[in-house]
Amino acid sequence: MCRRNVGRRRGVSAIAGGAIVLAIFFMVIVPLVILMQNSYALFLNESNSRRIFDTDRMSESLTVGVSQDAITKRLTLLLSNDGPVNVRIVRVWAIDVVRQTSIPMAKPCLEGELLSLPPGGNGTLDVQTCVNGFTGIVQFLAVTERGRIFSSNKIYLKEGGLIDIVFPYTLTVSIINMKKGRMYEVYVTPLGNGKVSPEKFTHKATASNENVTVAFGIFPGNYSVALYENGKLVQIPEGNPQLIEVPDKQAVIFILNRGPIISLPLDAIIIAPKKVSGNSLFIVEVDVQLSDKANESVMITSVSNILITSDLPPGQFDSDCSYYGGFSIRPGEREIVALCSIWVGWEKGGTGTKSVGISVPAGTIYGIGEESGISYTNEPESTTIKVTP
Amino acid sequence: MRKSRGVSYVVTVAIMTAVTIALGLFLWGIVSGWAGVSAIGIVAETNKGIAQQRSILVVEFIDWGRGIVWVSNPGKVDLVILSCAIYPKSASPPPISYREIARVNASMNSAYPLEIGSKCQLVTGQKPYVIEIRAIASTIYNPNNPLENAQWMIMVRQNV
Repeated sequence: MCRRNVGRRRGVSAIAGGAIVLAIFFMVIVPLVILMQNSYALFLNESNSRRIFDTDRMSESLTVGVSQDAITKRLTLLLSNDGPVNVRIVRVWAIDVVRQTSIPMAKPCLEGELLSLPPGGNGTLDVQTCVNGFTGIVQFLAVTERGRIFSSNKIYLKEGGLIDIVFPYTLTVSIINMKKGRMYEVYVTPLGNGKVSPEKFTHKATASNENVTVAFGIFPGNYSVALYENGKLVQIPEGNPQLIEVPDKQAVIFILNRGPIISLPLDAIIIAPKKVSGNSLFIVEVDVQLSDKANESVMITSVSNILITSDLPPGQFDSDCSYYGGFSIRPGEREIVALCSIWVGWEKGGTGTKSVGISVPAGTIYGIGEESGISYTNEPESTTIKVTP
Repeated sequence: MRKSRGVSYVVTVAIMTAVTIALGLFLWGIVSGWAGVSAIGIVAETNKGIAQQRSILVVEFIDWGRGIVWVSNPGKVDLVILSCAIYPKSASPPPISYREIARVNASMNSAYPLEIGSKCQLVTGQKPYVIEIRAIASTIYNPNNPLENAQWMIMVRQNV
């Protein structure tokens, strides 16, 4: 009874201590952990928000063009949102490109809620007040709400307006008989005070023997008209570049020296020893060569049997040939079409000479032109090999 | 005899309980103090990190004719510009002194000028040039010690 009472009273301090420890845990440690997690979550949230902002910012894409109203002659910015996010224009700067200074004053040309463009949207801004009376090269900068800056092309203004250019003459340049797949460039260069627009024309031929004619706006004067094929100046009898004087001459024709493709005979070449001794094995090679005057590559499609004959008695002569086809050769190129291994025997005590004849008849080697599709065959070729004891 | 023994038990228990409670309260005080200091530190560090995440500065245009660098702030927090220098790209950056040069509010409604010479240091030399601006969120800026939270500054560096 006494021990039970003592034990019960001793437990009071243990209970008090335990209660304090629990209180410390739940009232201090747990709130601190919650605070830490909350702070971390807040930081992560902000970091995520910044990441989204940066992604949107980098996704902004705006095309800035400059145009002039045909009737009012007021200068206008043409803004086109070709990005996936909405773009808000908050500021437009007009820059004097030569002096690298803002015009007309030391502040943005336009400021405030100017324009909001949805993805794919277009809009215009009147910037005539920015450049009134200005003569020189100007560039416009459009600043978006997310801090991106998009610039226009540099344009030349005279007293605040684009220069109206009406070309009094038209120069036509014709390119006749182009080759499929090749890139053609025409350069019209003023020699002196002339003016031409455009100064360069580029065209890729999409068909064989294609023709094209292009027109250039041009002022009177002297010009050089040059034609390039795949970056190389084309050599033609009329001369290239051609020098012209407008308005005396207003048309230039480049007739490319490329006639119709004709079939040329394939050359069969037999590579064999002139003389062999009896009881020997030797190799004979037959090649095909395309003339370097050919206008196209040729696909060798088939090779027929090559004739190998001999006046050696039966049993003392044997031959075996391998044929190769299904490849392409370019003009001037040479390739192997057949390899023959020939064995010749010899009678004991035999005298005199024998021979082995190798003949590639006409039409043995057959090919097809890669551009024209016409047939190419070989001309006949033969050779004789002497067999001695 | 039995009666006096009972009194001493009661006194012993009371003393032990009082000591336990006193020690417990002392421990509670220590832990609470530590937790409070830690909490303040955590909140302060989080605020600095968030302030840096919210800081963005853009150099819109440098007016060489008038000698003005135009900057704007598309971020979410006002910025204090502490240094600005333009120097040749091929050269090493000039020595920088940190001081409050300008305050740029978090709004794209206006651009802020920094005059070259007085507010933005220009080191002449071979072109091209580079502009380098350091700024800090105004919420963590201490005017008495501009470098107090220097590690949370942002730096804008671009070719000009």
